[in-house]
Amino acid sequence: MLDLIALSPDRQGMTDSPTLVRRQYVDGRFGQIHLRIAKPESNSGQIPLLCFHMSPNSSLIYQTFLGQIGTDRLAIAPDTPGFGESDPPTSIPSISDYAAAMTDVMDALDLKQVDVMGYHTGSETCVELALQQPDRVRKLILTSAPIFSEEELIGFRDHYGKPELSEDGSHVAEKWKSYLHWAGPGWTMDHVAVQFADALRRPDISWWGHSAAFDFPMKDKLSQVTQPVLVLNPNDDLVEQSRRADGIMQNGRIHELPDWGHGYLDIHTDEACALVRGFLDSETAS
Amino acid sequence: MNGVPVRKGYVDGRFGQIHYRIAQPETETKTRPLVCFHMSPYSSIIYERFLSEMGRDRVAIAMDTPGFGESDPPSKPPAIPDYAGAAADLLSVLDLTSVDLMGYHTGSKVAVETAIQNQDRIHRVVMVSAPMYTDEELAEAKRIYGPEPLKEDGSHVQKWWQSAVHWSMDGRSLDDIGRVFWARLLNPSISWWGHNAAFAYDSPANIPKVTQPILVLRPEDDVWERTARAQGSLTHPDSRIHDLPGWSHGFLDLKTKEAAAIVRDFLDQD
Repeated sequence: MLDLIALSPDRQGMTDSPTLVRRQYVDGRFGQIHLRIAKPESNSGQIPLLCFHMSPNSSLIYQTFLGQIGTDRLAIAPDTPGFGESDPPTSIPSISDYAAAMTDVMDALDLKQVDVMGYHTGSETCVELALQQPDRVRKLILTSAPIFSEEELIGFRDHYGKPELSEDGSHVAEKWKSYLHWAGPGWTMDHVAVQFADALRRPDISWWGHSAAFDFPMKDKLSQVTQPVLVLNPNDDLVEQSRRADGIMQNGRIHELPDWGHGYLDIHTDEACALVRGFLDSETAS
Repeated sequence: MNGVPVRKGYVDGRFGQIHYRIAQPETETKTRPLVCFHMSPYSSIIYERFLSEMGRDRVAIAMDTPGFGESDPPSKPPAIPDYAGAAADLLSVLDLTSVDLMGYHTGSKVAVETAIQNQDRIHRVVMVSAPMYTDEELAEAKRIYGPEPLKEDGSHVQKWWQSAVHWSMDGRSLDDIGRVFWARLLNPSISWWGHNAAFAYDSPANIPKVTQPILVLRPEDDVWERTARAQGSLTHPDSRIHDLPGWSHGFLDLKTKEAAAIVRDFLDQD
């Protein structure tokens, strides 16, 4: 007889979490969608939180965060189709496709209304989902809200295109150094190593997330969002682009986080949860 | 390739969630299901194409060993019998009462131990390599496959990539390697646990305890010479070693149909 309530240890290198984070699959329009899910022990009455990751990572970036935020609300982080363990679409998708797949997650889990949280590419998915499902998305928290100039897009599209694989493995060493370069304060090599495998998955299609992100008209779309928006702006590679969101949101504000960078969800989990709860659980709009 | 779709799922086991891949024919068959165990570190992804082929005429499953792929890790370095215990959990939850097993390197030891622990449920065993080490070789292997420090310049990952390229059979493309390579980087602080368990397992003592027929596939990989020594440990009259000269890592992707034909020929004799 199996002990089904045996606690599964958290991923190595990650903070002990007060709530168990489990993983499962649901079916969506592009195939199986893999997700992480943390549930409070008793029904908290809070609206569930859906979290979308950056490219080309996976829901693993939210593992520690889910364990904390899940103490008082249902918290879910799906792998975007084509990333993590989620099946890919059959052709290059758009942010609209990703948002539609996230609607499939909401339907499969019977989530009538949610708050959404996004990280880089995931922030754009939040914005698109908020526009596609205005009645089902209540509030948005965006880690970075990148608005790119035409000139920047040319450079980014080139830099984040399909990776060339090398016989001598120099491409994996280069990617590792790039990850270390952008690691925020306190995020050690051990932390980076935990996330790094996801950066090397599916090299044939791992550029699809960035491709979709760079084609998304963020400025136009973000300005249409009527729900409350909180932009968290850590000092990472999109800090400048996110400041351009200032003044274009109908009902949003930017919270600067100059001492945080990539990895803050692992390093500043408690403070991040406090920020998220403060925004989501306040009566005022934003 | 006319394979069947491969789906993924989780079951609960003694160490937490166990992740697995599964392929099966549209209509039920009487052919025994096949359960596969991967090499270290990697994951069930090495069986993806093979499952798609084997799933045409039977339920074909590949489990992520606890601590690898998406399966939760044990709380401390496990031994091969722990992995076999998790495999038994998978069989129980999926209600698989009569199956064949296949293992690749470390996974072949998991298959042997699972066959010993579950003689009534396991009928035949396919081992991809069955290395027998001298004491000196074992000491050297433990030294090479222990915990490895991370390097700022990424040379540790680069070295693993070069090793994957080096041990790949002719014809395996960089894309083929790239499709599975990431899986060896998961759970970096404990990814040496698989080899640690494998080198602590007494194959010369345990393989003769297997009462079921064993087919040892012997590709020309890093343990080609050492697998030849397994001949004396095969006790069942139907057990044998099948040499695969010219084949090496990646053969499940490059020689999928040929490998499936060899495996079917052995498994479906009774």
